[in-house]
Amino acid sequence: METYGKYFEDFPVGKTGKTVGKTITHSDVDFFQEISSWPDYRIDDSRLVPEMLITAVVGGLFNRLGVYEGTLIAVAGTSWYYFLPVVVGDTLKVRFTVTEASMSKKMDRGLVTFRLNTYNQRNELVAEGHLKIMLVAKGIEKSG
Amino acid sequence: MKIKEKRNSFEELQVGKVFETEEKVFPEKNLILGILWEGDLQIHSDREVMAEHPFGDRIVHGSSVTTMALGLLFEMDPIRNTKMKLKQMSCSYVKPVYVEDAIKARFQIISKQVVSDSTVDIAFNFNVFRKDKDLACKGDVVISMTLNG
Repeated sequence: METYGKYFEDFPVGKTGKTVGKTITHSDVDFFQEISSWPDYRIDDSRLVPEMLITAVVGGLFNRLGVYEGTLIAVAGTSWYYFLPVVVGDTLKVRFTVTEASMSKKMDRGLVTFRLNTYNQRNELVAEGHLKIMLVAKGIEKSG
Repeated sequence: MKIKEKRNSFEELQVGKVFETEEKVFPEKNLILGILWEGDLQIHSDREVMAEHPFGDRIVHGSSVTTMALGLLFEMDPIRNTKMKLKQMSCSYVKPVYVEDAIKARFQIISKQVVSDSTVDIAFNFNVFRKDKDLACKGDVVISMTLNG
């Protein structure tokens, strides 16, 4: 498989980084509700962004770093905590930290866990995600 | 169109109660919108590459599967008659889901915490199945529910 992303070894525990931002629009929420049947809520005059849309958008911001195109084997799991409401018009950005990294016994792949702290335009922490992914290790590419 | 009824209590939502959702086919447009937000990684969009991958074909985004499963839960009585906020979600992915797979979910209440006269936090564990038998993912969610009106 042709690879463009980074490898397991590129993510030692403690490595940090940040993404660009994305402003959530009414169309984002419209599309989300069309595919999900989630209800539409408002706080005062603001339209709430469904929590799973926050998760999807953060996944996209993280992907834009080119982290794992071609080197991702699988997403093992994810967990999320939603602290503050996000409304249409808010801009989300992410700061990531590698919290766990473990190589497989065959040394050809490894599991990396990222903490994805998600902030709005006021730098308020609105959500925290944990993403565990399996990445190709450099050894397998060198031998292939 | 479903008519929203005013809820009077959360008595029906007791620990141990199980919700089996209806089955729903995962349509291609959900994959495309997942790509819009999450990115068009080749595992989601390149059939040629994925034919050589252990998965055998492009797979849908895991979060889209969880989203659809939660949407099916939210349409069920008596949950659909409350105002809901997702507080926590965790999910482990067991098997991939493909476009046009039929999925359904089983949710069970594992705890219930009364926050106020009108709000409770309900924790569920859940399993999502594809093609009626394969476990695709499993996890837990905590949903804050508030009475309508």
